[in-house]
Amino acid sequence: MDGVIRTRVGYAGGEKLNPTYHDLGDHSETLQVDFDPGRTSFEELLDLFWRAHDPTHASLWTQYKTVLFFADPQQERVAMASRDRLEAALGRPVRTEIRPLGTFYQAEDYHQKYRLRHVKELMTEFRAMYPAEADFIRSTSAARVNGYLDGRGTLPQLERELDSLGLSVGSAAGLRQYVAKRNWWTA
Amino acid sequence: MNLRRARAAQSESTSDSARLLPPIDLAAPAQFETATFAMG
Repeated sequence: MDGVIRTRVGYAGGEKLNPTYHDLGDHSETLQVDFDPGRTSFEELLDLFWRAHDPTHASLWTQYKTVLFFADPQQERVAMASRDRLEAALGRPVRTEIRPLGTFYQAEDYHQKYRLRHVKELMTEFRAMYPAEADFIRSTSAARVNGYLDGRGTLPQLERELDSLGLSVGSAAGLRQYVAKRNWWTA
Repeated sequence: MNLRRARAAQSESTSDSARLLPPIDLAAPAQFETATFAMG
């Protein structure tokens, strides 16, 4: 998605202090997105969020619950208005929880940029660009390449930013080929 | 900013041990907002 600067996964929504993947307590697995408000908006992210799950079914399992967290009163207003519009369109109650964020705990490193970590050729280049793990996790390029590898984005989007991702000619060509095959209908 | 210009600018302003960051990272805005979702 254009305008996404950084992503990280973690745990939120519960009371347990310092949760881990194997000791999650009452938290849910959570995605956090830093975005450029000049290029996209909280509303646009919400549109994606609503389309990514069935909001008319309540989540039963805390670890995999679907929750829209708001960080401040402005996000709360936008979230509630978005929920109300969706309910009106569906003609059914939206059961997705909307609640204040509280503390977000970043997940263990091996969960971050999960798809990218499994492509050895690309990781060799990212390790050279980001010797420090924290910098790799915070990288915009890593977030966007990970998204393409996870099936997000389109070939035209990739073409627009491919030269800015810092990849070698060979890796850039490989990523383009991967996305072109996956998105053959847009090529 | 293309890759060559970004790396040239970076090498001029940082030490030899500096990393060669991708242009998209160098261009990331300082001002941003954050959204948080549990996605099931």
